[in-house]
Amino acid sequence: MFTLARETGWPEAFVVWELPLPRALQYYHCALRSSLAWTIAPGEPAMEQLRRLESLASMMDVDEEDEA
Amino acid sequence: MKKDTRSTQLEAAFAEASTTIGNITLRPFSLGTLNLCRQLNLTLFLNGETDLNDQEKQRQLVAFAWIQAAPMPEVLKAIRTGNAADKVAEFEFSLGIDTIPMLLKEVSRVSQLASAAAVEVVPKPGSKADEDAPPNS
Repeated sequence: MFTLARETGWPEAFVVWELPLPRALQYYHCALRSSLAWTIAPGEPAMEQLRRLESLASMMDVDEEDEA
Repeated sequence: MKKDTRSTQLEAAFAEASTTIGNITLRPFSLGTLNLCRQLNLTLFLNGETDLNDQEKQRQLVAFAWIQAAPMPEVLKAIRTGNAADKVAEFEFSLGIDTIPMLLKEVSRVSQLASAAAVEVVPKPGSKADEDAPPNS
């Protein structure tokens, strides 16, 4: 709630009582992404995404070593 | 191009508004709704606990309908004063006989929209979980 209020300036009463939860979650996701957090959908597919991200990150590490 | 189910649900969330079920009008399911569900221990809406007997299931559904349909000041006051159970019992008499199954359907619909929008934050490789946390004073 605090994150949404801070990012949007919307009043607390609107965020808490009027904003439908599915929309609040989407705005929260946007706030997370704009703060450069890595996000994934929860559940089994998320673990696959995580593995893909980790393997991508490890490939980037190799590139950095090559440049050095 | 056909859209995937998740995208469709994410977009559908922007058409959310009050919903009329039988003779009652429900406010949108919001963060405040979740908070009130916790205060009234409505586990059906918190962790999807379905292993409840029929009486408890009905109690939770009616309480949920009351939270979402009764005037907000009345709901907050009743919860604050520990009077919610009486108000829910009163409210139950105003419900039509076919309202409970329709409520279940509505809860399931909103739950799918919320699930589609839920995300988890994953740590970046090499970062520590408390790296950005402020130091203890």
